[in-house]
Amino acid sequence: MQERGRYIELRTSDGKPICSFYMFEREIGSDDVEKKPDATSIQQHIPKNGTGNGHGNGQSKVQTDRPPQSSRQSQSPPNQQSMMTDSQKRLLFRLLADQGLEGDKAHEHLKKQFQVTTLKEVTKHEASREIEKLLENAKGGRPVHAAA
Amino acid sequence: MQPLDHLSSSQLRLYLQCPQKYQFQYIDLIPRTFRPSALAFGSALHSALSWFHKAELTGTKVSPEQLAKIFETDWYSQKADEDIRYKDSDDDMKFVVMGREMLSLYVRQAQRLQVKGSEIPFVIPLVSPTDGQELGVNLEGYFDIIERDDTIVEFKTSAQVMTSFDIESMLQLTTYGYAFKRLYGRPPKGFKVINFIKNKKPRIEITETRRCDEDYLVFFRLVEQILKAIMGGIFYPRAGFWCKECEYAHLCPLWLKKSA
Repeated sequence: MQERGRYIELRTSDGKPICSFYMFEREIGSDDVEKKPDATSIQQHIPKNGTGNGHGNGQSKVQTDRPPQSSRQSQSPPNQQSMMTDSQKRLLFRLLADQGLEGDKAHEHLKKQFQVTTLKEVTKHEASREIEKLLENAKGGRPVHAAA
Repeated sequence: MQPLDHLSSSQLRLYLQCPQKYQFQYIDLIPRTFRPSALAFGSALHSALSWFHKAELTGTKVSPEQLAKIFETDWYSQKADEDIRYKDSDDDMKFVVMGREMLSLYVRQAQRLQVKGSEIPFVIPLVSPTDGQELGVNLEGYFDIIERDDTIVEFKTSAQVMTSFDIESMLQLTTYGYAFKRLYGRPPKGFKVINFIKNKKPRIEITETRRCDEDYLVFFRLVEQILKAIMGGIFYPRAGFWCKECEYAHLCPLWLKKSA
């Protein structure tokens, strides 16, 4: 059984976010029926109906790409491939170190920024946006060594 | 089973080491519950070395202190929200000190390398060197360093000196040589393995080796068979020294049998 995640964000022409969706495609083959309990038990955390997390469902409030905290905490990352990569995580820590925020302080800062209890909950997209923000902040200031 | 997106040197190595672990990691995509300290340390050292060479290539002079700081940041990033599992007497501080010492040693030796590029990614189709047969899967990876004379440099961290047999049979080097030849239309001049040995007193050992056309042919045939096995759903556990640090031991049929 393979699963793919998609993140779609709709914005106005001037860049304001309208809504965002997480979509999970799930393909079930005959092999899945015969899978060992060990492997399938891990995957039971995955949403079964192929829907996202409720974003883009007509709520009037402008959505960010962060799902409700409670739903984040109650399940494993839905798709490892859509989560923040090691390289992104490393770059975030380097950029913060460049700005004088190191170790535990940087870690706490990132968790606060992403509103998560663990960085394992951060998606690739969220990490990209934070990296862009930090790079933007660094412009005009000291040279950024981190990304070299 | 869906077609594979790509194969990498580490995927091939893992399949040969333990097909069951390959399945857990790359087919079932089961998250690892912990990370062995040696892997985390190797990643942090690799990324610091890559940063060092990229900076030097842009003409920036890097001091050992700057490099040590990058390493410590990368090491912290490896640990953040990860359950790092240390062996016996190992601990966090030991790795920090060791990393600093290794990099300090390296900076003094690095002048001898004629670096043309650092951390160069590649994606190439897997094609037979003799008859052009395609496997329909790409080979992905990156070269740690390519020197001006086309020597491929690979960084390793290990607990002991690598024997000549280890180096000769290192599939990773053959993989990179094959990729280099496909990319540039000529074979690499040779390979340098820079081994960071994690002794009480860390040291660096550099070993040179070569590969020939026959090695690339054997490599292609091996990959072809591995791919057939993966696509055929052949995944079985293989016991060995690697089981001690396996992140999927709690799911492994062999381990479950032992603990029953």
